[in-house]
This record gives sequence, structure tokens and C-alpha cells, in this order.
Amino acid sequence: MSALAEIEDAVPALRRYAWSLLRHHQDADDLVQDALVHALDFLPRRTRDTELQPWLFAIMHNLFISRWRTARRRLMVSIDAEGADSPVAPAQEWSLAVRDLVRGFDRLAADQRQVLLLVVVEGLQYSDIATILDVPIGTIMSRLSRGRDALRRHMGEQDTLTAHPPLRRVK
Amino acid sequence: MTQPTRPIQEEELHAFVDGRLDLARHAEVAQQVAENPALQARLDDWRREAALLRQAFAFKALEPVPPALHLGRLIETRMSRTVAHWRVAAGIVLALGVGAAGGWGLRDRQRPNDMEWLTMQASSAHRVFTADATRPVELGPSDQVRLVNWMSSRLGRHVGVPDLTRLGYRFIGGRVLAAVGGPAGLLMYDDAAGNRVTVYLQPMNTADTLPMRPIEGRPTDNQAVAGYAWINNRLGASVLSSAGHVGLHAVANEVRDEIRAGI
Repeated sequence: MSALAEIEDAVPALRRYAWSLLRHHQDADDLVQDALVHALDFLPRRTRDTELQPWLFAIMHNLFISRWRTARRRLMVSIDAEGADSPVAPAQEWSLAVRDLVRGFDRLAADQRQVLLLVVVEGLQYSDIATILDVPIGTIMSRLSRGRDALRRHMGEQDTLTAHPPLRRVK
Repeated sequence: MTQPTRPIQEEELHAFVDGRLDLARHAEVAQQVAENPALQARLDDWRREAALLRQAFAFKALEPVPPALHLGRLIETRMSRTVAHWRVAAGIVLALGVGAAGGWGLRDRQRPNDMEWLTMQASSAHRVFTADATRPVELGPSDQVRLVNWMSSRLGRHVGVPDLTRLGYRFIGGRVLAAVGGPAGLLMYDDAAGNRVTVYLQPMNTADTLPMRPIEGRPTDNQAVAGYAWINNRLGASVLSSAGHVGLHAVANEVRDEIRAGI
């Protein structure tokens, strides 16, 4: 498969990762476009020792870090303003369980969220993720561990709440 | 056979859940997990949450890719962007009043290469200064030593004046010019019929050596220019005259040989 065809095939995953980072449809597609333009510019100079998909994710992640911090900050402010109980909903309906999970996920540290997305949603290799995020693989594993356990605690609390709703306080 | 298996590392739990362990180790870990209800519950939760996380974001990868992200579209945009790039450069040349830089075989490629830059600027210089009735050259034949010193110091290398009398051309003089990439040198000659020939010299940053090739300018304005250009040892050179001027190839060969010999 040609490199261009491979890039084309990676676009849906890139859009998914961009949206899960930014939670804004237009910002996400702008980030992907930025990344693709960069990829086309750098394609002739790409070294062959990395797979194309992680290479694209790395380009996009670097752009996200360098250019999109502001956009993300804007987003976080808007989430805070709306309150943590109303995460930005996608076009499609999220089930109640998914909503619960996303609420917990949004409370994780950004670096844990990124690792969880790349491992769980994008299904990338740990070593590739270490390259993409430019940290040692041990750091990836500890972020994954902390992220997974924090998410589990959050979901446990949700289950408890559902099973035993807190008593209404009467004044 | 009950050989005690290695205790499970925390990292292996993740690799187990993510399907990244080799088959043998996967079986060992599965065995130990099955014997440990608390661990089993923890991993079940991880799996459940992973499934929900995938569900949450799955829709985005299933959407049709918007046209703005189609690679064909992006490649087109990128081409027009880089074409715009050289148009800006050509615009600068125009704004400086050195005439249309057009043509030179750019066609639909993105960016002028070294040869195109060289010939664009050489042709502008040729058009402007051969048509100058008042002061076509800054220093004439009587100032040849000063001219050689001036050009050599500005171009950062020794540049002499090729002797073309054998081919019927008289040296008129020369000057240092401002080119887009830095200083350039222009030498002017004429023949008995008054035809003017310019030798343009410019240090090149990138291309080391490109063989001589004929160049032909599109007659964008009043005067069509043609000649030869080459790059040798990072010095770009061209020999230009009015289009249709015969015998220029011999002139170009002579200039190239003299420059290569260090004149």
C-alpha cells in the first residue's frame, strides 16, 4: 500500500483521537488537517523505521501540544462553566453508562487521558505510544495504571450512588 | 506438573487486558487471575470501562471524512500555497522594477528550483541593464581590476572577467546586483553589430553542480531573452542575449571554461 493510501486510511482514527482530545468538531478537524498538511510536507523525509500510523499520531500530538493548548483551555473553561455534570455530548446519543464513564474520564489528568485513549481506543502499541508522547515506556505504564484505577473508582462510586441514592436532605 | 510461575507484574496486567502478552505468558496470567477474585474483579472493571470508552468515541471514526480532509484536496491546496510562494517572490522582483520574471518553465510545479531562480533573476538583470542607455554598467573596462575586486568581495569568491574577444565580443563593464538570495554579478559584452550579451554570476546555497542547459524566456514583455545557464561548484552562471542570437552556445562554453579555470 502506498504511503498516501496509508495516510488516507488513518484519517478516521486521527479524527477520533483529535475529537476525544478537543471535544469540538471543528477544532478537531482543523487539528487533523494541520497534521495531514505537516505529514505531506515531511513525508519525503520520513525515516522508514517507524510505522506510518504512530508517525501520524506523533505529528498530530505535537501540533496539539504546540498549537492547540489555547483551544483546549477554552474548551475546559466552557465545560467548567456548564458544570462537570454535562460533558460535551457528541452528535450521537451516549448511553447512560457511557455518560458516566466520560464524566469520570474527564476528571483524569490530561496525560492519563491521552494514554488511555491511545491504548484503549486507538489500540496502539505501548512502545509506539511512548514515542508519540515522547516519554519513557515506564511512564506510559504508570499513567495507564493510575488512569485505569481512577476510572474504576469513579465507576464504583457511580454504582454505589445508583444502588443507594443519597437521602434527600430536608431542611 | 506444578512448576511455580513467575508472579505477575503490574505492567503485565495491562498487557494481559490489552492482549499484548505472548500466548504462554497469557495462559499463566489467566490462570493466576482466575484464582484471585479481587484481581479478577479489577480486570473485569478495566475491560468494561475500556469497552465504554471505545463506545464513547467510536462514532467519530465512523463519520464520513469531510472533503476538507481528503488528501487529494490537501495536496492541491498545498501546491497552490507553494505556487503562491514563488509568486510572492516574483512579485518582489516586479515591485523592484526589474521586469517580469515570468516563464522559465515553472509550469505547474510548486516552487522554483535553483536553476529557475538563477534564470529568472539573470533575465531580469539582462532586460534592465542592456536596455539602460545612461549607465548599463557601473565600472567599465578601464576599471576592470576594481570591478574584479568588488565582485569577488561581494560574491565571496574570486570572479574574473572572461575574455571573449576571440569570439568577437568586446567587454563593456559590469556591476554588483542585489538578487533575492544575496549579491550577484553582471558582466556585459557587445559585438560589432551592437548585440549585447550578459554574463550573470550568483553564488547558490543549495545546488552544487548542474550541467549547462539552454534556457528560453517566455516573451512576457517587450523583449524575449534566451541563453544558457549552469551551476558549477555552487556558483550559478548564465549567458544571455536576445532570443534568436546565434553563436551564444560557443560564448557560454567559453565563459564556463574560463570560470572553471579560475580565469
